[in-house]
Amino acid sequence: MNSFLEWKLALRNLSRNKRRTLSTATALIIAFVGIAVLSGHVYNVHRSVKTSMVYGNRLGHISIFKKDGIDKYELRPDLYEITADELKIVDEIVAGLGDRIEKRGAVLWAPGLLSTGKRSLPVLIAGTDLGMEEYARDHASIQAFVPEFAAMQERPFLFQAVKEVPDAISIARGVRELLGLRRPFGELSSDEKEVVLAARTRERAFNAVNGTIATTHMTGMPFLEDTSIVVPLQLARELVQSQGASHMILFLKNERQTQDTIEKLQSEFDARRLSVEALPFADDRIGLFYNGTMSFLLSIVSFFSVLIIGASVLIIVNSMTMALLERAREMGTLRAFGFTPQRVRGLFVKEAFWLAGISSGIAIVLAEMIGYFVNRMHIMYETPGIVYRTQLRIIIPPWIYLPLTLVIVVIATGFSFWLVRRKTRERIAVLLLESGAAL
Amino acid sequence: MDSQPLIRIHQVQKSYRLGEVMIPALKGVDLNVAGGEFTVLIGASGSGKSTLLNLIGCVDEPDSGEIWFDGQAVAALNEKERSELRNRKIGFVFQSFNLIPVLSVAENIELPLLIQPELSAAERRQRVESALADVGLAEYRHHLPDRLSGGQRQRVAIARALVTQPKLILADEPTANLDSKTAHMIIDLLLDLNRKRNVTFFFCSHDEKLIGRVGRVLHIVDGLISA
Amino acid sequence: MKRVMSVFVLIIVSFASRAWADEAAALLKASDQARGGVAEGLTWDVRLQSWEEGQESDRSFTVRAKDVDALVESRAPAKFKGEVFLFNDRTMWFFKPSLRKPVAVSARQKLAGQAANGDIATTNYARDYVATVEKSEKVNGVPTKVLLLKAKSDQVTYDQIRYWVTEKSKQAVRAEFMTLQGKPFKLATFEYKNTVVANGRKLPFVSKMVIEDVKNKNNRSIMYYTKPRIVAHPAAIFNINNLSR
Repeated sequence: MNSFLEWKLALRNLSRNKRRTLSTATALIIAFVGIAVLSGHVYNVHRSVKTSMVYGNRLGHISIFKKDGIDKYELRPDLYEITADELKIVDEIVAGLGDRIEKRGAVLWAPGLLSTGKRSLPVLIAGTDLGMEEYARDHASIQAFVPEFAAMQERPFLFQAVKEVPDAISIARGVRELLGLRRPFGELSSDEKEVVLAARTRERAFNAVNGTIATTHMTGMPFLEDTSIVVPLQLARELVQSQGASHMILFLKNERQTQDTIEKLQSEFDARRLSVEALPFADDRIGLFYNGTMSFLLSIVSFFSVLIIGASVLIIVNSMTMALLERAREMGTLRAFGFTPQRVRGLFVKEAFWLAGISSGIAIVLAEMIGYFVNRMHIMYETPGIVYRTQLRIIIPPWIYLPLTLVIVVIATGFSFWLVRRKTRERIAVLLLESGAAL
Repeated sequence: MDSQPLIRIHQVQKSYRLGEVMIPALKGVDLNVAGGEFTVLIGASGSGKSTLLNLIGCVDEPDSGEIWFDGQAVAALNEKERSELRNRKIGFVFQSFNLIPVLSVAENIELPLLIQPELSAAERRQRVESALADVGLAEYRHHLPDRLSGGQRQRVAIARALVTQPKLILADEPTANLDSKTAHMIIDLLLDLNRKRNVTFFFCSHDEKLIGRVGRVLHIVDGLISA
Repeated sequence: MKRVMSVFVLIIVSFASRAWADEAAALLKASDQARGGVAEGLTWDVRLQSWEEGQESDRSFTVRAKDVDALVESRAPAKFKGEVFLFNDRTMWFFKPSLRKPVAVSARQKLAGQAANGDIATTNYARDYVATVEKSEKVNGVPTKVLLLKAKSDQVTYDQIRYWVTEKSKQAVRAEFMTLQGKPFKLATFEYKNTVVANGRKLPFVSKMVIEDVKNKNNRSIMYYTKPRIVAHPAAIFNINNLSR
């Protein structure tokens, strides 16, 4: 088809009413940029929160619990722990999945008490595999995506502290407040740092072990800040007299493989009749803060996107309608010398395509520029639920530009198609009679 | 000349609705136009001449009666066939030129050829050049219409009508927007083309001065033709 | 441990001198006495058998009590030897030789899960409860007065206790521990076949106590008391600082 001239014509038609073209294009650009920048903010939040929770708070991509353990372990740890034997099999199965699993580690939770010798606090003791702790706490993505979280981490990390002090434990900031240990650790006396951890053993007897407070950690969840204690896995196991675990945590190389990995794991578990289940980070019982934050943000962005796109549609419709009125006679002329209604329509659709395409191109450049400058400004803000101030960052994922462009182009061309349809079906004689801007 | 008339019109009637009133524009017209003829239809405004022209050009349909073009009953054609017919056999020249302002002279002329897929780009260019030469605007090929005078614009329109090598060129008051000197020049051009290219010309006008210059004159009054 | 500690609730007695306000208070006081609160000090052995959530345990302790304090030392099985629970008023301490410090547990605090430490802490019924006589009833053919004890403050573990005290011998033979709404969740029964000689008099002393979970009768504990004897305990042994060096 000889449409090169038609494309040229469509493009040149944009210059027929420069003011209208410019205002329509501006509206489209603003809409595009608005959605892109908003998405950039949401994407950054997603990345920061997920990274800080998965790695920083060691929640991992996948958690393996005893069936129903995630809900019931705290009430009946003896019934819902993964026993030492089961743990061995789980470990085997996980290892069998090869290097899609970047790191794994067992965790043993024990609800208990932390005693200073004079008084006690109720705490949730998390015995953690220190190799996994080392991997997660210092993970490269923390520094890359959420440096303000990294900056707030207290050093040494537990896995470093145990090298000096074998019974080192880490307490959450809230616990530190409750204990009144505000001074830096270096200034505290041994008596202040030496504590006793108590809990029920698997046989429901009362037991206690020594611990030395060596550092603090952030839990990322406000309701845990007052009760979280992290200890080496071995210490927790000694406390509850068990070599099992409450759960195992997996870190994946590629988090997009989460669902697939879970399915593979679960089928293996079922095949070996293990009463354990693999849960994703996305499960509300694990990643609630992330899920909640994201669904809130996404609903806001969706709402605004709909508004913005709605406004764009109206603008396009208005602009197109004006163009049609002005060019009725021209349409009649084209029809007169043989253009089918479809071809005439095609001209307007091509014009809309040019408008949307060029606007999108400009918008992409503009959005990137805005992102660049906002990021350089280092704007910090507080968020409820996060203890550290986060930087307002716009990270527009490249894969959003294509769908956004498609949406704008489809809307522009779709609506122009629809509007032009009726006009092109009018009798040529009538079209020719209409006034217009033709020469 | 063929024995069969190029255009044959039999008892054609056409009315228009104007608000709540039906205005009869054509009240039963019979007409034959032979190939190669240069015919002008003279009538006052409202006489129905434009209506008749539109019907001949297949840009409108009669309420009743029959129209044959080049031996074909127009009423039997579907929309696509009609578009094809117009493209290949009919050329239009309008009173207000109806050029596309954002295209150059050459591009305007080329437009009707876009629908003929069998032509290559080179062939199209050749036809455009030929049309430009016919109307004497070769050196204006890259100009935009707004840089041309009225007469030049009309010549572009004529070239555009010619480029498809039609059998018939219809012109609706082609000189109405031109001064008399230019108008005569245009008529001369049309006559010249009629002789050279053997294209049938049928145009309508209200200008009585043209009577003497053209071959066949028809009068239309109140929707009916008189010789 | 929960069941062991419930015992001490009932055993440890206060001899604070108060006016005997009414019949109920009098009965309460007398029942406390019948369970042998002695000024100098008391020692006895306890064997605690308990069945909880399908798990059975069998432990033995030696208890030394005086006033509101009690020192409980684990004797058997061997793995618990050396473990010590100390009760001072409303505070419980846990200690064993490997620890640098004792673990403090206060009355209203809960170890997560089943343990209610109020079971562990010392209660003084006359001090902590207001008693009214509800009715008279016969338990195993013996006439008893049923007292309704209502907690005076929210520091006390049980909001309400229904207490059966025999009219003649003034011994508590039965107790029902209830929520604020009056729903019983624990039942206890007592036997008094021991005697202890105090101030030249022979006092009856509890020999067996059975505690049951109302909702799940399979969760129960039985305590056997043996060899109660008057021993003058120095106050120092009930001081946590002495325990943990």
